[in-house]
Amino acid sequence: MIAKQSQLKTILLVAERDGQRCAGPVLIAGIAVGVGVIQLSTGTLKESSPLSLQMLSLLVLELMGPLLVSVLGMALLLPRWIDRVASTGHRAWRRSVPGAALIGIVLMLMFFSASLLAGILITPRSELGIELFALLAKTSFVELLRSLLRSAGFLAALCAWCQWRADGPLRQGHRKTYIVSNLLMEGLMMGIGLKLIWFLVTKILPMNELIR
Amino acid sequence: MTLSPRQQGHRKDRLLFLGSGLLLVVFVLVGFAKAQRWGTRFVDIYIKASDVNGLNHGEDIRIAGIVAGQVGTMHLDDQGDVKVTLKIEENKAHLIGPSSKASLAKEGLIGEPYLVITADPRPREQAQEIQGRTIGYDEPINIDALLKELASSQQLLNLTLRNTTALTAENGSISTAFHSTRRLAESLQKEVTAAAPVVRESIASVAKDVHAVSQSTEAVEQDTRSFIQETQPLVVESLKDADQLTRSSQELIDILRHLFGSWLEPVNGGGEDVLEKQSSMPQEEQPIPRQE
Repeated sequence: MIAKQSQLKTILLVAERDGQRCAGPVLIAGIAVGVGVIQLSTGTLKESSPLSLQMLSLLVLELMGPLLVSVLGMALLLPRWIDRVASTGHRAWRRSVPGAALIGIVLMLMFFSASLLAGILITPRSELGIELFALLAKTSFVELLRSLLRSAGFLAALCAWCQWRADGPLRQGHRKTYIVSNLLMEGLMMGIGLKLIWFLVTKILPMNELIR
Repeated sequence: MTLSPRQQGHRKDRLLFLGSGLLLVVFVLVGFAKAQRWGTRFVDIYIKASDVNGLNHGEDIRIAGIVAGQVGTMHLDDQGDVKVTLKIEENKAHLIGPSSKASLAKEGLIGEPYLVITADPRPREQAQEIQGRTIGYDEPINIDALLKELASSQQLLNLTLRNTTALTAENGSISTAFHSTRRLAESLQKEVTAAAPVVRESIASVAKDVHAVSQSTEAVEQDTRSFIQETQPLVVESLKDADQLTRSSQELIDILRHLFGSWLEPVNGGGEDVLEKQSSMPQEEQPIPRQE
């Protein structure tokens, strides 16, 4: 019991430290996406504010949110994950993977909030409260939960993959910069692969009904 | 045990990310709860529509402009109709009755769509009675059909305009008719100008003739009247004399009949017949009425 509590504390500590590293870039990315999408939609496409915000919400939750957050998180945390493998060995995943999952949830929520708030602030109507509640009324909470879980799953999977793939080269004495470079490329491909798998599973295969 | 400034800083930052994340979760949950009315008790009613274009899950339902619920799930049934669940707030459900009707509306021209339900208020105690009922739905105008009708109307209008343009053109029928009418009017005016003095003279001479005839007729009338006045006493006298003469003659005939009646009887003994005939005679020999 004490060991489990200690492990939970360690996981929370790892999540806190890793999260602090990622929060800033993710928030900035969220703001950039929100502003960019709304500007494009209301400006170039000349769509109405509510429709633009709804599109932004769907874009963040359904399309780019989990992938962007997990890839960004991986890019920012990869050196730490490799360090932990170097210091702790192949057991490092026990702390890093749950921590990454937790970070994935919080980061996705931050990304979602930042993009929506930035988007709402830049719409021509700019009535923050009214537009925010109108948008939340139309956003499916289940969809948000699914997106948070997907983000957690993606980041945890990337963490597990990177730590597993880093173990061998580290033992062989490869340089960390070389390993980080390789794993960035692999992680990026894996993130896109996971997105494709998710799309296949939910939209094309008959499992769609089961998952929904 | 005292902590170094670095350790104190670490401890302060220990829950910065997870704490702010937790706070964010709370905010998002509260936002969703408020926006999606979590915890509000709803009464489910239904509408059936053949076309639910423009109607979306989560859209507002309004009664008299006030939000009273939201559009729920939609199911396509075996007849091809869509059964839409309308989630009405329990405290406003009594405003909906069997004669309420739903229709799709929009804020402004390009604003947010929402569903309007006409009120059919009932006592608050009967609010739950509407649960599970289906109310009527006025489907919005089919824009495609409307545009097709508009296109056909436009074609007809174009045709009419073309015909009108052809009629009113410089060499069109209306213009030609106007020209002809003008020419006719001009020639008529010339004829009238030429014929007017002659007609005036004729009318004057006819008037003179009529006047003369009238005068001669009056003179004749005067003559006739004076002649009648002059001859009237003579004629009356003559008539009186004639009447007297007739009476005298009658009396004379009667006297003669009395005197010579037996001598005048017929040979074949038909004296009675003669007498009968004579008795029937006075009808023909009535005295001549006296004329005034």
